[in-house]
Amino acid sequence: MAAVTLENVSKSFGKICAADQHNLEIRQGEFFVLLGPTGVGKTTLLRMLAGLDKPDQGRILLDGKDASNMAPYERDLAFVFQQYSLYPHMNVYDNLAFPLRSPIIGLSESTIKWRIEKVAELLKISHKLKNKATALSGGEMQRVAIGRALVREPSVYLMDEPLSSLDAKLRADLRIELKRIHEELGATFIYVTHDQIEAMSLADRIGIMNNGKLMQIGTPQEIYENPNSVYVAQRLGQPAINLLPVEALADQYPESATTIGLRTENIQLDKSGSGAFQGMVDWIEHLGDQNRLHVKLASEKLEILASPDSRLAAGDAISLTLKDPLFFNSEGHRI
Amino acid sequence: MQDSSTIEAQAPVTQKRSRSLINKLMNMSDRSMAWLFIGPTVVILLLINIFPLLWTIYLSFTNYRANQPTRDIEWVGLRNYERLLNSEDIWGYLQVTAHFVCWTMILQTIIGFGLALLLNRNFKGSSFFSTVILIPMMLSPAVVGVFWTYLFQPQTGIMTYIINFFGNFGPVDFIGNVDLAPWGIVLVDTWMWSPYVMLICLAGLKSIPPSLYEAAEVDRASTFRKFWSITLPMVLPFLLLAVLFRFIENFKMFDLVNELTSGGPGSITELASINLKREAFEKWRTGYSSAFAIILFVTVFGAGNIFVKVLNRVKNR
Repeated sequence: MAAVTLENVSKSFGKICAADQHNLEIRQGEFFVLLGPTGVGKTTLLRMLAGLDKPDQGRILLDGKDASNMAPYERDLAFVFQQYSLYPHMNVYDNLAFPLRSPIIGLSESTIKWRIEKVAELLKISHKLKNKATALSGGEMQRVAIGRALVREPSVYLMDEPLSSLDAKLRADLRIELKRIHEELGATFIYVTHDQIEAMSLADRIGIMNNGKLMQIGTPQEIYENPNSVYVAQRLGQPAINLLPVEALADQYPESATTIGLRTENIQLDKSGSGAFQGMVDWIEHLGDQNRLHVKLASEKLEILASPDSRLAAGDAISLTLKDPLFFNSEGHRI
Repeated sequence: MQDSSTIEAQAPVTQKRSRSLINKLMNMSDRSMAWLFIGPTVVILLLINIFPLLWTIYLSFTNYRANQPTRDIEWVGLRNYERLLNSEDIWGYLQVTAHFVCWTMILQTIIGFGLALLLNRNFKGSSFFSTVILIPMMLSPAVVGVFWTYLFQPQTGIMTYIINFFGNFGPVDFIGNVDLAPWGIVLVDTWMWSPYVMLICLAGLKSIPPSLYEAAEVDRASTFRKFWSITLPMVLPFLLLAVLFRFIENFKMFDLVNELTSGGPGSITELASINLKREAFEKWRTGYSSAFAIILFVTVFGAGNIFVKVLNRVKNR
């Protein structure tokens, strides 16, 4: 049975449509990531699931039961807020204990202690339990916020950009940690982010959002290889997919196509002039493990990854051969 | 530290070039700049706060009378203090003050905090109501005293009228009746200053991020638990601050009560400061009243300090 089901869920704030007819089924134990830039309605969707916002229309089912009119406390889920939302006047221990001390759960103080110590160890904050919540670093606060969700052991975890305010190193560490926790708990995770690497590495399935709409849902690989629109294609892949007018490159293309999308793997580079198109290396970004080539092709520019040992230099003439490029029509849909 | 040393190092070079005022100011060390800023305040403080305080302490050990300035000032040692602390009347006035301070603090805390909780709900017209509620504290205490004597007027005042809605009590004299007068002044002060407590509590309530309540809601906290574990602890420093201010203010209360009852009937509402004014400026016992003033000062200073300690403990918890 699906852990979370959305049926025609819509919500708007004034003229802004934050959720447009969402239909979504999230399986038990799935790690589902909502990806999109800020302001497309990711957080709204999460808040509606938590019961903090009410949908204007449609039904939300949790574990098969209609939860549309349930208050947050009636839903068995935990929420990790983007801005931590730790209780500033409590220490870390009391912050973690807060959800457990709810009379609805009715746990003994010793059980609570045991659970907190377990979670604190998992998140490596055991030595900070006595600290005040406000006397922590950003990374520690974030881990406490995640911990406050974990101690509850709910069936669904909602996480709103939980790693966004951390530095790159810590973000990478916690990302791995989260994946591990998910595998250990086997609970359902619904995770909002604007970071494509987070989405790709964590998700069982990704939902790409734009203007309150779910544009495409699928496994990371499906979405990466088979984007259904220009918008979705632009969300994944680094460097971003190269979009060019079809006339610039292809000799053969579907009739309605107006745009061609090229990622590194769609292009074969050749130093000799045997390829179909001739271009020139404009400049090279050396990133250590890889080089980023900026290629000039008549009036167009391309960004392509190349291995550092390709020995190309700025000004070199190169030829390109296309391999299974992506074609899009004038509305931005994939052909 | 580093700034001041580099500025000082550059100073000789620039001095040669020009000696204009602006240049002098710019070459000033951090320390002299600091003195320049606080200097005027320090002088004023010394003149009108510290000197009078020391002078009062000196006078409290003498039999000086301000209406006989030419008389020799005689050093009497601790005699003024001895007489004060052994006087039953003084303890009576302090009791009247304690009654007034305690009840106004309790009522203003409850009413002010309650109003703040209501107005924090952002209903339609809430900003209008908060403005209206704030009006009493913006009025002059003397004016408030005068018009409340009219409202309290037993025959024509509106208080008698209102009370007789609930039964036939006849004329009710809030400031002339021995039993009611202590409550009359509490009532007026509460009416006037509850908005002040409300204002500070409201600032405290507004400073609580709404996301905390959302987090608590997801964490399955009941409405009562949200109030008890989030609202109350986070507003408490603000509330204590408001109560501290009201404590100090009401301990020194003079204008409002002087206008309402002038300490009467008899000396039922004679607060310490009203008695002090009598001793100092009606009986002209300047030395004696200086000693009384010092006692009151030490009391309010000590109690205020305890308050601040508690406040800091609450804040750092």
